Amino acid sequence: MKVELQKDNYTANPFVFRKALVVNKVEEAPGIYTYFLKFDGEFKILPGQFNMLYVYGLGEVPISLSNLPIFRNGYTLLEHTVRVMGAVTKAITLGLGIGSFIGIRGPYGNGWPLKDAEGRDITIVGGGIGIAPLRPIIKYVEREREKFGRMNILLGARTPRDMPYKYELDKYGAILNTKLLLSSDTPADGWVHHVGFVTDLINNIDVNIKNSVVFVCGPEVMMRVAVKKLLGRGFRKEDIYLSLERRMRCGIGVCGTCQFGHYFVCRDGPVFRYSDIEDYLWVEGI
Amino acid sequence: MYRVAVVKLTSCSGCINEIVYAFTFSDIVSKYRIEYFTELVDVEEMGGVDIVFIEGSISNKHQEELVKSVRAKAGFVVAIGTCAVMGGVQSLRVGSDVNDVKKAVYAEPQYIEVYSDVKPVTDVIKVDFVIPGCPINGSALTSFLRKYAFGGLPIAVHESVCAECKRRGLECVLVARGVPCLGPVTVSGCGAICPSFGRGCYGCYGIKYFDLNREKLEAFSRRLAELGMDRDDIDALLKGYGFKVYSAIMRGGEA
Amino acid sequence: MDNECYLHKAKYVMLETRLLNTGLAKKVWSCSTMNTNELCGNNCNLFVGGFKDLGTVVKLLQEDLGGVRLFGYKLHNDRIEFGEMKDFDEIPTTVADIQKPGYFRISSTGYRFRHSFSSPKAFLLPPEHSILTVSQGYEIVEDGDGEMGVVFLGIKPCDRKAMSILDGILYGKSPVYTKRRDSIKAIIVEECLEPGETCFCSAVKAGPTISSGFDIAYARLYKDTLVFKYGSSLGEKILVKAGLQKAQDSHVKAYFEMVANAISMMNSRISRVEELQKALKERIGDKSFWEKVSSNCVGCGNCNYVCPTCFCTEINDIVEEGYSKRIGMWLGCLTYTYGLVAGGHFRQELYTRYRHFVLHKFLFYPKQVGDVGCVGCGRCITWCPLGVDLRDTLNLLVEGGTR
Ligand SMILES: Cc1cc2nc3c(=O)[nH]c(=O)nc-3n(C[C@H](O)[C@H](O)[C@H](O)COP(=O)(O)OP(=O)(O)OC[C@H]3O[C@@H](n4cnc5c(N)ncnc54)[C@H](O)[C@@H]3O)c2cc1C
Ligand code: SF4
Ligand code: SF4
Ligand code: SF4
Ligand code: SF4
Ligand code: SF4
Ligand code: FES
Repeated sequence: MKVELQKDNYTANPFVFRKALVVNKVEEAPGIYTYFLKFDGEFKILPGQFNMLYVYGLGEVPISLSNLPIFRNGYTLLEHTVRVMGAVTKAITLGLGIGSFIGIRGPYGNGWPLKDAEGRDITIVGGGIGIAPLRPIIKYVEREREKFGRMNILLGARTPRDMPYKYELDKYGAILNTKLLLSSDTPADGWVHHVGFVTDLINNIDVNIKNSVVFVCGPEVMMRVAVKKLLGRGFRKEDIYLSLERRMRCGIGVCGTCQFGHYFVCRDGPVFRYSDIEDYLWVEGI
Repeated sequence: MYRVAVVKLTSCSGCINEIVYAFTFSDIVSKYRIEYFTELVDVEEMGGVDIVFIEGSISNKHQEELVKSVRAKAGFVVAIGTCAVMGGVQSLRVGSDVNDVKKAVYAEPQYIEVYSDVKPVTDVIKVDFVIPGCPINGSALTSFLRKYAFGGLPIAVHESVCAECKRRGLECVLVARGVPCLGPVTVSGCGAICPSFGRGCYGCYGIKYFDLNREKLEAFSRRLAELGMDRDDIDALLKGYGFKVYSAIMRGGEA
Repeated sequence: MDNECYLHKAKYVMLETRLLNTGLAKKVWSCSTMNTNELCGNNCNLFVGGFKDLGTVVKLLQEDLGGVRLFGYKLHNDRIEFGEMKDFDEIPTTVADIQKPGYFRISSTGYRFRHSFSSPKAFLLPPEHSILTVSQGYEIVEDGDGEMGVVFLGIKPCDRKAMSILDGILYGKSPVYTKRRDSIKAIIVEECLEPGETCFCSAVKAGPTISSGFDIAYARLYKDTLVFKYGSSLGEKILVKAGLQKAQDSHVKAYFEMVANAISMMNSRISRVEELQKALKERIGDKSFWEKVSSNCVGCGNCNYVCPTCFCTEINDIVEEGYSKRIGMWLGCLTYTYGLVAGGHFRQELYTRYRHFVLHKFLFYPKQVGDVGCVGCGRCITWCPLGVDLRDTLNLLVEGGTR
C-alpha cells in the first residue's frame, strides 16, 4: 500500500510558524494599521499571496502581503495591513505594538499573474481593505515600469477617512503613464473626487481593452458589480482577475473551510481568473 | 489589572459558582481584580469597571433599571448563563397567569413585584459577549478570561450539541436507542454531558438562534413525537430554556 | 489465469490501472467485462476457512509486522464503534445492525455487521487533535503525535475507498493525517455479501467487494464460512503461511451470486452517477429545490461527522497556564460556522450548506481527487436524527426517480 502514496514536498509540520518582530506600526485609517514585520532568513512571497498571522492564545488570520518584501542582511521585512474585525484582528490592531512578537507562516496562495500582464495595460480596482493586496502590484509596476502598458488605478472607500495609504496616493498618480481615480461612497468636505461606488469609475478609464488585464479586490458584491461593468465595456473574461475571500483556518488546503465551488481558495486562489469561476460567482452561497 | 464586577438578577447562582472557580487559577487572578460582587466582596455600590458579568434574567422594573445603570458603568458586558442570554428555565411560567404562579411559589404573593414576561439581559442592553449554559461551562469562562487578557476573544463557534457529541465519539442516543434528545437544536458548549450518560439533551444551553425556522422546529417536534413523547412535553422541553428564541421562531421567520 | 469469471462468464485479462493520487500504474487481473474502476477483478484466487483461521491470519500478520496495534469495529457494552482492539475476537460476529433513516439498532438475530457511526476516519483524523503547542514567547513546544504501527481489521470496502479519498485531500499535507496514515502497516477488509438497508456503495463503485488497496480480504459466506483473498504479496505470504485451503467451486459460485445480488439491489437505490452529476450542474442555482430537500434539516452536522470522507476542521487555541494548545477539531459544513466570516456570512442560509454537502461529494471531489467523494456507506442517512435521506435528494434530482 505504501507505493500508492506520495508526499508532495512534505517535510515537517506545515503549521509551525516563524517568530516575527513588529518593527513599525502605521495607522492607515480608523481601525486599519500597517505592520512592518521583521524576521531572520529569506522569505519569498509574491504580490497577491498571503500569510497566516498568529497571535498567541487566540488564533491565526490570513492577511495579504501589502507591499513588496525586502530581503537584506539575512533578514526579511514584510508589510501587512490589518483591519480590525473580530477576535484575532482586534488583538493585533489594538494590542500589538512596536516590539511585540507575532507568529507568521506562509507564503500561501497563487498571487497575481504579473508575468502574464507584461506588455499589457493594467487596471486595478480596489475597495476598502481590498486595496491592501493590490498595493504590491502598484509598487511592482512602478519599479519595472517599462514592462507594462498604461496603468489605471481605481480605489474606493466608504468615506475619505477610511481610505488606506492616503500619504502616498499622490505618488501613485505620479507614476509614468498612470492614472489614479478615487472614489468615496459618501460625500465629504474637501473631497474633489468621485462620490459613489468605485465601480462607477470603470466607465471613465481609457485603456486598450483588447490588450489588458484587470485586477480586482474588495467586498464580493463590489467585485460582482465590477465584473458586470468590465464585461459591459468589452473586457475579456480571461483578462479579469479577482482576489476572493473565504473563511480560512489552515491556509494549506486541509481544513476545507475556504471552499468555493470545487476550489480551495487558500490553495487554488485567492486570485482567480473570472472565466474559471464564472459558474460559481453568481450562485448565492456556493 | 482589569477591574471586574459581577451582577446577579433572577437566577439560581449556578453560573456565579463558575466565576468563583475561574478565579482560583493563578494566571487569571494575576490579571483581574474583582471589585464588585455582592456574594463575595463587601462593597455596596458598583463603581466603574472594565468588565461586568451579568447572570440571570430580568423579572421587574427595578432589575431593568439596574441593568441599564450597570451597562453605563462598564466597558465590556458579558451575559453569562442561559437566563441572561435567552430567559432561562423561569420562562416556563410565561403563558400562565402571573398571579397563579406567585401564589404557587410565595406565601405572601402581594409583596412580589414581577413582570408577566421574562426578559433576557440581551433584550434590554447591548451585550458585548455571551456565554450560554445552565450553568455555564467553567472552561468557556476561563477561556474567555485568558483570551480577553491577551487582547482578544474566543473565536465564536456556532454549532449544535451534536457536534460535541460526535467529537467525543458518543453513539447517538436518539438514533441508536430512540431516546428523545434536543442536541440537534441546542447550542453547543456543554460538551454533550447528557448523551455521555446515555440520556437525551434537554436543551439547557438554549435553543439555536441560528438555522432554525418554524418548519424545521415542527419537523423536529414530529420526530420527538415519533419517539413517543407527548406534544405538551415536547413544547415544554423546547421552550424550557430558550423561551425567547423559541417563541420568536414560532411566531414566524428565523430567530 | 485462463479461468473464467463466475460472475460474468468472461475471460480474465491483464489490466493496467492508475492509482488514485499518484498516477502510478499497477497491473491487475480482471475479468474482461470489467473496466478498471469496477471492483471485481480479484482473479478468483479464493481461499476458505472459519473465524479461527481469521484469528490465525491476524496473529501471523502481527508477528510478521512486529508490535502493531489492531484497530477495527468492536463490540463493547452493546455498542459498536471503530477503535483499538485488544484482540481480533472483539469484532462483531454474532450481531447484526439494522439501519434505516434516523434509526440504528444492534440485533442478535442476525450475524452480519456493516458499520457503526464511527469509521477509520476517527483514527486517521481524530475528532480533536493537537496541531502545535506554543509557549507565550512564540516558541513551538511540541508539534504532533509519536510513531506507531497499526493494522486495520475488518474495515469495509466503502471504508477503504473513503481512505483513498481522504488521501487525495490530506496525505502529505495534513501532519496528523500523514503520520497516522503512514502508521498503517496492513489492511484486512471484510467484504459485504448482504449490504445494510442504507448502503449503496456499488452505485458509486466503492463496494461491496474490493480489488486493490488491501492486504487480505474476507467475506462471510455463512456464519462461520469465510472466503479469503489476498491483495498484496504480504497478504499472499500470510494466507499461505496460515495453510488455508483453496475455495471449492461451490464456495466461489455462492460468493459471486451473493455479490451479484448485493450489487443489483444497491444499484437500484440511486440513479446513475453520471446522470446525477448532470442534474446537479443544472440544478446548482435552483434555490427552491434545495430548500425543499433540506426542509427537515436542522444543521446539526451529524451527517458530516459520521461521513467517512468528510475532513473539514476548525482550529482553536486552548489556553492553559503558560502555554497554548492549537487543536484541530471536526467542523461539519452543515453547521452555521461554516462560511461565517468576520463581518459577514458566505453560507448564511442552511440550504446552501446542505447543497454544498451534496455538491462536494458528487461534483467537487471528482475535480479535487479524481473520484466521487461519496462511498455510499449510508451513514449520513442512518445517523441523521431527522432521518434526512441523501438518496431521496439524489433521486429527486433526476426526474423519473431511480434507474
Ligand atoms: C486571502 C485573504 C487575504 C486577506 N487579506 C487581508 C488583509 O490584507 N488585511 C485584512 O485586514 N484582512 C484580510 N483578510 C480578511 C481577514 O483574514 C479577516 O478579517 C480575519 O480573518 C478576521 O479574523 P478575526 O479573528 O478578527 O475575526 P473572527 O470573526 O473572530 O474570526 C475567527 C476566525 O475565522 C476566520 N475568518 C473570519 N473571517 C475571515 C475572513 N474574512 N477571511 C478569512 N478568514 C476569516 C479566521 O481564521 C479567524 O481567525 C484576508 C482574507 C483572506 C481570505
Ligand atoms: S445523542 Fe443527541 S446530541 Fe448526540 S448526536 Fe444524538 S441527537 Fe445529537
Ligand atoms: S444530520 Fe440531518 S439534520 Fe443534521 S445536518 Fe445532516 S442532514 Fe441536517
Ligand atoms: S455522503 Fe453519506 S453515504 Fe456518502 S460517504 Fe458520506 S456518509 Fe456515506
Ligand atoms: S461535505 Fe462538507 S464537511 Fe464534508 S468534506 Fe465536504 S465541505 Fe467538508
Ligand atoms: S456500503 Fe457497501 S462496503 Fe460499505 S458496509 Fe455497505 S455494503 Fe459494505
Ligand atoms: S484555509 Fe484550510 S483548506 Fe483553505
